[in-house]
Amino acid sequence: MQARTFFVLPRTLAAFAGSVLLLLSCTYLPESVSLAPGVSLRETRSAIALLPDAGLTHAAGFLFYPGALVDPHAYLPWLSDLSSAGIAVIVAKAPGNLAVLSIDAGLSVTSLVPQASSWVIGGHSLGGAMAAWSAASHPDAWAGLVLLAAYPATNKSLAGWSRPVLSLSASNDGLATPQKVADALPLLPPTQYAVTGLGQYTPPSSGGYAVVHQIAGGNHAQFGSYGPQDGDSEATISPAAQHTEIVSFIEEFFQKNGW
Amino acid sequence: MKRILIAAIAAASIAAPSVPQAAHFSLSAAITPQMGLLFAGAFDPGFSAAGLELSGSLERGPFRFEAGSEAGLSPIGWELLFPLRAGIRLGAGPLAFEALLEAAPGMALTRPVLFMAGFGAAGRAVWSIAPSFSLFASIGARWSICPAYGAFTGISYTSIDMPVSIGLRWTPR
Repeated sequence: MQARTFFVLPRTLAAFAGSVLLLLSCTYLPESVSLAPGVSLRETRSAIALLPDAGLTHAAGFLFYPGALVDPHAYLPWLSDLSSAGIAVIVAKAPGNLAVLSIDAGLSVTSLVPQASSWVIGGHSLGGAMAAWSAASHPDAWAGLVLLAAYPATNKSLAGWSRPVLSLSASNDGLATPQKVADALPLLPPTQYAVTGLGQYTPPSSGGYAVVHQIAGGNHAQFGSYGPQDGDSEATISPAAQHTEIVSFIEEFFQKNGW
Repeated sequence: MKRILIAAIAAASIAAPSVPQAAHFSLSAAITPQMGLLFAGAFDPGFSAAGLELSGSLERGPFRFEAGSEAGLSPIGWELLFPLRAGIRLGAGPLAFEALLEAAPGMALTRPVLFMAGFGAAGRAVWSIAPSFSLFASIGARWSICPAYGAFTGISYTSIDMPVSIGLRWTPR
């Protein structure tokens, strides 16, 4: 009995290890992490905070949920650009890099930056869906929502939400495809502005609304900086160009809403 | 680093069958939540990791040797470690105690896969509930590192955690 068990053990352990490797897709690591000049980083076990050295010029901060199985540092290049514009940024880490395992993590990590008077929540891909989930579950906790290649779950509609939503998608996204993003528009506040560039909308005097913009030539992975992603399509613009467009639209979203 | 990992796994696999038959063999399954104490050199308490461990062990006299695989979550993401432990057993009744030292080479399941490792010590209480089965609970301290993580992210990954393990042991009779 013992000899047979000894023989079985290594194979059992190898099978277990192999199963884990097969079942769990690996986390995408950043291609590079370069912070914009004039931005300081503070990292804890549960979050990464970015603060402009020159001080905050916006009262609201931006809380960000990374995409599924993407290392949270992969978004720092463009998030630090956003922070250099005077916005406090926090990236919420999630167990296993899956925001679905800690949907409400953002409610606690915002205490890292007490200077911000309110917070806009946002995220990429599954992180965006979970940010929308948090907004639906805690409608008064967030000043607004930013969706990057993401949309709310059908059972967490924000159609009745009284806060602004910015939805940025990409024309060459092979995962959150333009069709999927369009199909989910009824889940956003019904007052919607489909814009092709900056300066094309004026927020309504009251109530929720959504600004919808598709980045021409962008793809799913270039919402971060982690290289190509399985299932994605080829981008026809550079990562830097896509990042610049993301930052410009979020910064305008903050300005238009007086945050 | 990969060679070290492969060598450690091979050593554990080869060593097990070479132990004399008089040794007692057992298989264990455990859940292993970890409370974090230090992260990247700063005091940062909070939930750190959790995993599932399957292991085999040999007991000869008061000495124990264990080899296993532990899959779970860490601040980096998903990880797969191969803990190797050596220790002593104190007490022979239905309730016994074990003191163990541990080295746990393994990998962070990232793209690319990165070498990581944990080193620690634990104390464990074992309660015999049936002739072939025991329940056990342990608490310890583990220092985890992933040297290459900093090259990708800019942060040197070191963590000191307090792992807790609760599991079931089967000893064939």
